Amino acid sequence: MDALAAEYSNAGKQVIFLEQDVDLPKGKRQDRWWAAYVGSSNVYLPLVMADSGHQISNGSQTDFKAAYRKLVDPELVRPPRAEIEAYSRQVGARMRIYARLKNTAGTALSSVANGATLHALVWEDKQVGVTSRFVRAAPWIAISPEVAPESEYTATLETPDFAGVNWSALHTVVLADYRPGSGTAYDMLQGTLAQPAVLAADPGTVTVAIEANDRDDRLVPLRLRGPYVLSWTASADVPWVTVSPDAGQISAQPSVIVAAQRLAPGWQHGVVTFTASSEDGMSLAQTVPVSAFSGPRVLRIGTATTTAGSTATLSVGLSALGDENAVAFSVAFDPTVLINPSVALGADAGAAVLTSDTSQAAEGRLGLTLALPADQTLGQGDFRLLVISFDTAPGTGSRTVPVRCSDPPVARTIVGTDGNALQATFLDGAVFLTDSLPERAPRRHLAPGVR
Amino acid sequence: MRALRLSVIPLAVLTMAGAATSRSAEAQQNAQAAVRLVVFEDFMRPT
Repeated sequence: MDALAAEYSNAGKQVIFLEQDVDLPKGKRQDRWWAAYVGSSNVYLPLVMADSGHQISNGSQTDFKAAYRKLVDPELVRPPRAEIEAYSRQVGARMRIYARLKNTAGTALSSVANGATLHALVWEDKQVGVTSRFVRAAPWIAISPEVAPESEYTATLETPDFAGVNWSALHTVVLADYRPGSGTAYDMLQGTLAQPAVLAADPGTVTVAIEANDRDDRLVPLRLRGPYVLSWTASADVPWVTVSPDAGQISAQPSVIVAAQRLAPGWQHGVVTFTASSEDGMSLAQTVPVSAFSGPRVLRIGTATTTAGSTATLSVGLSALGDENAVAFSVAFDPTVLINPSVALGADAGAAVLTSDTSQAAEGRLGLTLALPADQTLGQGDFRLLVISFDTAPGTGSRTVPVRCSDPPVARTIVGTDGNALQATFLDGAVFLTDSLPERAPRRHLAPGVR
Repeated sequence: MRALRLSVIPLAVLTMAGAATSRSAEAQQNAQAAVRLVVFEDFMRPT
């Protein structure tokens, strides 16, 4: 069985293999085997079952591993029929287990109607019997009153006092089972490994970037997780962060709110601290760092200085806040002066795909769309997105030729990963045509040792 | 000189495609989360 446990674990499959002494069974687990057994002849050791008796077998096997795989593999492909969240902690010489079950079975669960039961199997990774995974305790509770479909049930289970166990080698799996049919056999709804009783927040950090002209607060939902008996309160150490609600049961999920109008330009950092406690003595804390950036989101067409009858190359840059997924705009220019436009991806465009609309190029309008794959962003900072090149028409005289951000044929917009348009500023560029390029000042060449 | 690409994909289409991909990923994540944990129990007599 140890070899099978390693085999399934290495394959990334969720199977827990546990051993019990058939003469000293814990909890109601061995009862589940007998509830599933319908034969009348003698049975032989070992008695084995998967998922509370949905699959059973007994007796010696010529190939144990092959025989047990036949019991396990069909179970792996069945969908679970409950969601279970469980936590455990040592209280004196006992293990206390907190479980929350959501009934997704599509039928009401109750001990009276269908034998619904919640079990906690606490095992030690130690060779006590034959294998190195021996069940030390299996407390259980009859599910009552009835739990309607999609409703939740919570319970606290506790083992008897443990003696002579290595606490760091103890693990707990919490499972729920019931009788799905008119027979006596049980089926397991779902099981889950109990986690250490801590308070956790997801996401663990909050980072927002807000366009400088955007006055709307940012709301970032958090998910607090921990034993169902916890109550929590929240506090922030900076005035631009609040939490709503700022206290509640563990099932009440808060949001971190960043007040846009209270941000200073640039980056600022704060911390939200959640503290949680329970009537049975738990006192836990979790901090969530919050970082906020306030600044402009700007798409900027650059400038170029060149001579008539040559080439002008302009860079298009984006000062990004980190949530931009796609950029679209049109470039408007004088087609009698700037001719043969060409567009290429800039050095920072990454995986973005460039699409050009040249349908109005002859009229001096070019539509450009730059889109990253779904859910991707460039990040926060300044990025060189595009390079636009023109041939400049022959002529004389210095002058400035605007290269403007425009709308036709492609409307200017910057879109976030959520598909919504983001507030942004679009700045025009220009080509400065000169009769001749300004000469550089001659460099002074210093002889070695001369100051 | 690089030639311009002539294909035109409206941004709205790109955005819709992105949102659809996002929804698909979310559904996939939920499906991954809804995996059965199998519990195999062996009742033996230690020898």
